[in-house]
Amino acid sequence: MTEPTRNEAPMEQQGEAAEGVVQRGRLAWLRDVFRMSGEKSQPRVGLVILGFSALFIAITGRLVMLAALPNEQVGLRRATSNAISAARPDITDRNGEMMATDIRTVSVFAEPRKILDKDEATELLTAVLPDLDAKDLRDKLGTKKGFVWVKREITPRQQAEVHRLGIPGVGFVPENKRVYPNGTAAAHVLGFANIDNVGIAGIEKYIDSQGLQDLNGAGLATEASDLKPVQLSIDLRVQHLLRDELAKGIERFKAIAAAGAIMDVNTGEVIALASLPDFDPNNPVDALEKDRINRMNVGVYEMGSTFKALTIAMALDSGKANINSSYSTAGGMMRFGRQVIKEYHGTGRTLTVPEVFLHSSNMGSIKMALAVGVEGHKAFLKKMMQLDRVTTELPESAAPIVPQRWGEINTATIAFGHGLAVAPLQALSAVAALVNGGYLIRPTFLKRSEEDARKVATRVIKPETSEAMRFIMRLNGEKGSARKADVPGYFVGGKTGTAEKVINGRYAKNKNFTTFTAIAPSDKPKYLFLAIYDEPKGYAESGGYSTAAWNAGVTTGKVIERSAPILGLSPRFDPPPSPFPLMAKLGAWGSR
Amino acid sequence: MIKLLHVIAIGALVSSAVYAYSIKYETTLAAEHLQKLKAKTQRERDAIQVLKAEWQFLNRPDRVQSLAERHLELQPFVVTQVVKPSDIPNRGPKVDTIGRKLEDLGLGVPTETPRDRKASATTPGAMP
Repeated sequence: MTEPTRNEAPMEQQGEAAEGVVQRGRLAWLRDVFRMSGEKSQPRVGLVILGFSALFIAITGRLVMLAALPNEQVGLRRATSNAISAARPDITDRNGEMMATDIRTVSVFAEPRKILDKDEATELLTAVLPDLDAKDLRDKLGTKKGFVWVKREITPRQQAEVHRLGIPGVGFVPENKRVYPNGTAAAHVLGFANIDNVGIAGIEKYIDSQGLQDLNGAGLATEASDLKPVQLSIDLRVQHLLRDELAKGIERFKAIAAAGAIMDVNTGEVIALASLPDFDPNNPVDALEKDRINRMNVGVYEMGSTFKALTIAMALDSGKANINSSYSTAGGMMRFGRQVIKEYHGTGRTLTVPEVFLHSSNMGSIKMALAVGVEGHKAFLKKMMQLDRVTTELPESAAPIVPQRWGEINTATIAFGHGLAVAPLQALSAVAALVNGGYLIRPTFLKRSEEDARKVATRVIKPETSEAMRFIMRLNGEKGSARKADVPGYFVGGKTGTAEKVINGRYAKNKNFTTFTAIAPSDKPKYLFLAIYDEPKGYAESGGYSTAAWNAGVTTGKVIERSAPILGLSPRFDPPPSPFPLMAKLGAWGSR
Repeated sequence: MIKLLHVIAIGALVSSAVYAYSIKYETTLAAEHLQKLKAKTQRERDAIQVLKAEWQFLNRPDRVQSLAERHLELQPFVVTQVVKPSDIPNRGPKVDTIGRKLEDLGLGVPTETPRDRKASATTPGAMP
């Protein structure tokens, strides 16, 4: 069209000028771009600016994309570091014997996004690892996740086989596996760690609460050698024999459960603690069942006559009674409103303080408690840590069951160990305070020295009262109900306790909860022994009796006999020349 | 002169490059070696840990007890087996058992070895 216009109308050029300018303008711009002269190159500069702007926008866009979208490689590393088991410190007993340690194992993981043929991968993996569920694995590989576990903790041989399959997107991560080489020994103290090496119970949980998890979160401490071993107060050998004797006892006395503990009275260290039935921390599937609880710490029980020791100590310490005070038990029963409390081993005569303890007189202890009064009784038990939850390193603990309204009748029953349910470990620390010279020390499961223990100890009773308590406990070991545990040479003292179990709100006559507390040696106690049986039955030699002396007492005797040489108690054949000087001076009953 | 300087400079350049390269190569080699050794010590450490756990597993008290009950004829410790150090009797006077036996055999009398006077005279003795 332009050709004819030019040819036919040279005159019309003027008229067409406007159109021509537009055309020429476009061409000129293009020409300007390539023009070499400087002053007319503005369009070129503009183009360059445009080009570079586009380039920078593209780069910025890509940067934003990289920042916003998770990088696959980084994501994988993060996923593994979150998922793999962290290192834990070793746990050793007081002599350095290993109780828990980490060993290195390998786990297989997969990156589903990188696996090309998921069905084939599933098939190959299940062929090598036969205990994998094929359907489950296929579902896992079908997800869009960047990281899934195929199997945790495989053997080196399985690792080699999986490696030989050569599936892209399947890899290995070294992991820490927690092992407890001693099996059930001290299971309740150790607790256990789950597959991610996180402490779930016991000392394992305590270690985590001390900041280990934070350390791992920060990516530190994945090597067990970086961590200092945790040394427990437990002695593995004694722990084993305690459990062994309790297990034999359960069989012999047909009890439903048993528990026991050995405590160092001067440091508050728990040397051994067993509760049966227990579990294997290597395979803690049944650890959370109700009957596997730690009866020493998590169970609360009415401790029975063992509490009479506390009542007597309270009366002696308050000055309301002295070792020569006497109490009438005539009538053999006491009446509180509608309730009647009977004497179990009734004598009907007037008893001195040591006799009240020896004959386990309910009436004697009630009269002592009432002499101190309800408020005084409450304050004393509070001071002895019997009314509040006692916390140790073990995260599991139970609060005692204290009567809502505490009247005279409650003081009367608590005086002989009914109506107040406490954790046995709690009662144990109180008894330790009664015999160690009067220092109440919070029990611990970690090794500690006597000096450190003294720093946290509080004086609760006078040393003289403590001597009186040792005296009457020894007397009971010599002549009273604790004779069964009187291993010759160790100067054992003790107290039995038999409580009737509460079934449906009533005390069941034939179902007992028996305890036995023993100290050795009585003149200067070092260790406190406790054995507990739940519903023991009478047997032939016991003449059908199922009271504490016949089961818990027998077991405690055996435990003392076996453990004393290990614990370093040296036997003495002639009794110490003057074990209780004050009692002899006062002319207490039984001191001559 | 200038030419010689150039040759020297080029020579120095080449040799320094060779030196730098060899140093770098050695460093890489050493780093690799270090990495290998580290991995090896880690493996050994892991193995030690496993062996320790295994040792404790084999020495766990209940296993030792069941083995002892099955294979050993040991009795439980009894208190009466303990003796105080003061109860141990003192050692008796020293007895010359050989001499006593000789006496019993009638050989206690001094042997009558013929003496050579000269020899006894020449035996060097302690100076007074």
